[in-house]
Amino acid sequence: MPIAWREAYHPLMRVQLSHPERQVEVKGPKRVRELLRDLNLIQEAYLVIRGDDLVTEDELLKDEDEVEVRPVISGG
Amino acid sequence: MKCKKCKTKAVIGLPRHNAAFCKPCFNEFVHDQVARAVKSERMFGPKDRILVAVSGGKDSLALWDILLKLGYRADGLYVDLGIAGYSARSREKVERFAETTGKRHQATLLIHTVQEEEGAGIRELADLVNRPTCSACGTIKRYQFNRAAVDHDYDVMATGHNLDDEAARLLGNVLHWQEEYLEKQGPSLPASVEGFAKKVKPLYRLAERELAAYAVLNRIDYIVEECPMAKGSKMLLYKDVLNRLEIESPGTKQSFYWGFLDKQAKAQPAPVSMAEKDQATLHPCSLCHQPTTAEICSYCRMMARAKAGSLR
Repeated sequence: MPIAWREAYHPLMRVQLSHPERQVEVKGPKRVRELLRDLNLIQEAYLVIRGDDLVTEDELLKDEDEVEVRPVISGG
Repeated sequence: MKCKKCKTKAVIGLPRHNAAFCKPCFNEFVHDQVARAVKSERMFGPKDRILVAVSGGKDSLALWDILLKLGYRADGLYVDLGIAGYSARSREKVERFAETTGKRHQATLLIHTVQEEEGAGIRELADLVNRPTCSACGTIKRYQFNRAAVDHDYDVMATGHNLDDEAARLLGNVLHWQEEYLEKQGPSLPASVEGFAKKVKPLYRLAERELAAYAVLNRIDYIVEECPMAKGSKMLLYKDVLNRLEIESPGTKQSFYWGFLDKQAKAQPAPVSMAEKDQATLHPCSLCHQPTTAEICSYCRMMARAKAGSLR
């Protein structure tokens, strides 16, 4: 499949981020730990949720996945 | 990644324990850590009535959930601080939790509204007395929780402070050598004088990330957004620094805070000396009769200044 066609028609992984709330698209497949590293986020301060489920750092995320990267640290 | 206990697919890895758990085994781990904290620090017994300070955040709602599931008699207290939008959203989360999980365990929710009691929200009060919002907020919450626990005859007041909170606070106190605060950093503070409720932190053995995971796994709907007042707070900076160390060297946070507690326990029989010290220095506030070291307590002084300020 030509790369240009793939990029135009193949959906990318949608990643929901907070503080501030925003959505980014990321090319899969990608391990959770790689996603966090690419976003420059440290593992200890975030949870990664796919659909409704928590996933571990070694889990492989795919283009069709809806992913939330949720911060866990609060200032209080 | 496989669960360390039952070898099924894990949902969370815990590098500091060199472990990973599936949902049932993780819940068991969390409950076990709280049970250990309660027992080792002699926080409360099965017959005691506990008042949990709930904010709508993951830690306090998880704490309430865990205590109820462990079979304790725990009610909740929510203090509505009147922060535009944020307070209404967090209050809704607390009320929903109380109506579902709380009700199932015959637990009740008390609500105090600062606006109704003092005529202004936290932001306005802080402005009136010229203090940073988070510092005024701390005074108000400590006062409200203590007074509610004493007025309603609870045996103990529990807060959702976790390992990250306590390690960050310890780091801040050590960096500035605030030795006078170190003594009060234990997870169980006695009801040293009349008018002071016993205060405990049953989550001090659990990291913030573990509590967020517990909330997500158990479908506890909590407020994810950060309090708008906390932006740029020093606590967030200390937590970030500690988490960077934790990544490089798992277990740093627990060895820092638990190590401090061990040293403190060996250095002196803390509860006795702290109770004696409190008894020597604290007496009832001349206005509200809550314990204070001054003639008038800091809460009443703050409210008097706020009222004077609002009349100007």
